Amino acid sequence: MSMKTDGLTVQRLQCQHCGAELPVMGRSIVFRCAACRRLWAASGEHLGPVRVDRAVIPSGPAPGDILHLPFWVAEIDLPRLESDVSKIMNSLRHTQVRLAEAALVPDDREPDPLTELGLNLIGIETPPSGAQRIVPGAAIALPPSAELDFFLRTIADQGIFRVFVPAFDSPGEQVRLSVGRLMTHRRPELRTAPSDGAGRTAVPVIQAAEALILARYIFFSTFPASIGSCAALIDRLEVQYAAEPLLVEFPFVPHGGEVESLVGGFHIPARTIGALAEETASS
Amino acid sequence: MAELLQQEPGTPAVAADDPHQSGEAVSGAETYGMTCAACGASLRIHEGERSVRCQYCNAALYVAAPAGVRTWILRASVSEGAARLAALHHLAEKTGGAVKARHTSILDLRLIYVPFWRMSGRLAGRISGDEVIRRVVETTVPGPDGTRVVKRTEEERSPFTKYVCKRIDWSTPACALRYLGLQGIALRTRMLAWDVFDHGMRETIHTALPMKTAERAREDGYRYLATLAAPSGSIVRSSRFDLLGEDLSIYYFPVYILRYRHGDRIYSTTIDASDGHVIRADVPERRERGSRALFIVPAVTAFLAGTWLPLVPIAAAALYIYDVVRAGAPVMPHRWIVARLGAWFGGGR
Repeated sequence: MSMKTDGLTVQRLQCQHCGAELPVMGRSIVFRCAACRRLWAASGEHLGPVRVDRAVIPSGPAPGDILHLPFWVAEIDLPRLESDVSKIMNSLRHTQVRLAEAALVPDDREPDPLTELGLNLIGIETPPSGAQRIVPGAAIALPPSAELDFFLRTIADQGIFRVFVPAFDSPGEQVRLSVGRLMTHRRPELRTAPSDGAGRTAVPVIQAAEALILARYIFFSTFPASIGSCAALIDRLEVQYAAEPLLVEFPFVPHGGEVESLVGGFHIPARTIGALAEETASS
Repeated sequence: MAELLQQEPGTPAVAADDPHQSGEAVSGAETYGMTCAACGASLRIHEGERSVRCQYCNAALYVAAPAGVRTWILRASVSEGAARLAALHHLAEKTGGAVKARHTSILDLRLIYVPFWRMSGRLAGRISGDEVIRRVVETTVPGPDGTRVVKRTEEERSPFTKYVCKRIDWSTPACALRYLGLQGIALRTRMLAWDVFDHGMRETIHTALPMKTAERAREDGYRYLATLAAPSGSIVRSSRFDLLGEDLSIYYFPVYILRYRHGDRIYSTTIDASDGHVIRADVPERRERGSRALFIVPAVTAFLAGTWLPLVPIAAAALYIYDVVRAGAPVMPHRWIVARLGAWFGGGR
């Protein structure tokens, strides 16, 4: 049963499989059925099934006080990326040539009268007959081809390029880009097992569709400056993904005011992490 | 608390709010009125909450937010009497007690619901351009009396690319505000209780009609947000933003428009109908008899006439044009002369 009111819908929060009532989780978009252990995620209007995995801790004994932070993991479609970049660059180069041609105009500056009389005593340069000059500001700044090829080859050599989008609740949204960029840069190996939801876990508040939008910006922010600053390329580039994004909980260990990623090997301030699952459920 | 903000002329009608960054608890923010799917009871759901429990039947509920424009309304919580009193208090205060209720006659008081487009949620984007750094460089150059220091401003441009992800709350009026006297108003909300706008309400309440389309509002919002995200003094060459969750909705905010007569003129005052504060008010101008004007105006006229007689009408014409441009509306010359003389020598209100 649902009540529909001008675009908003309030629905009974029930497991779509067994009909059991799901726990109220505040801002969380993922709900785990206590009866059948299935997971459901909010996506727009409906609850849909979702798989939540948990990253396996790389080596050594697992520390006791582990905090699990959810990330969406989106896999870039690399062949498509290479082909799109190649198409865009060709198009931009073609435009650049046409702009350069258009920018070449006949040099119609008046010849210097002294030079005409053979008295060019101060070295004024005058255009020879039929000369052309370039109108400044008509060029498109393109990244160096060699650097772009090298960059594309580097990420293609990896076979798989994953972008990590922080899905946990956070008091500041910019942390999604900074932490996502850190994790993406580290390129951690993704070994996962289905999550049982045990232990301290931050609630996911970002939906899959939103994660894919964020992944685009995180991916671009990992580009070298010479490529990333080329607006003509970046604005035209639509990132395609090889598969649906995965929701994976990564282990972090608190150290004073920071938490350390056991997979990525970096630290982030603990205050950037918002509500945890048990806190939300109890409030 | 609710606020409609009167902003300085020239600033965009925008309130960029970040409850997270300002350190406020999101749970203490706005609420939205909905109906329990199980028992039909009224619920209030905090902004950002995805699941709640009905306090009447204890059912677990899930708030779905499909794509599309939603319309919300804030009910007026200030009575007409309280609004009238607030306006008169404000008038007395602004005129130093010179204009009180007995000096004015209230013509009408209307409750109008003003629509605002509001974009709220998470915004992600990329912005690039040139950061301009200007610095003053001092150089020593030889001069006729030895050396001297010459200052010149050097401009250095360095390209920048910035990626942004932030919580935003932006609003812009959706109707023509000129006739409501609400130019430059921005909607800023704190702990407001919004209800779903039922389109049948239009028959019982006065609403200003939204004139701006959603596309136009979105474009305006992104354009403004690009300037917010850019470093100060930079030149933005390209930008792209995406609103996560796409929450662009119409919010009807209640205001009282009070018109009163003082002397031979009609003035208007706008009162926030959610908390009773006066948003803006036309107040009769104090016309003080200027002792300086009594001396300066005849002296300047005599000087101009003594120098060259046509200078007097030329100066008068220039002053007339200046006043008309300032007023923003044409004024008949004879009326202008009366008003000007009154301002200089008339005194009183």
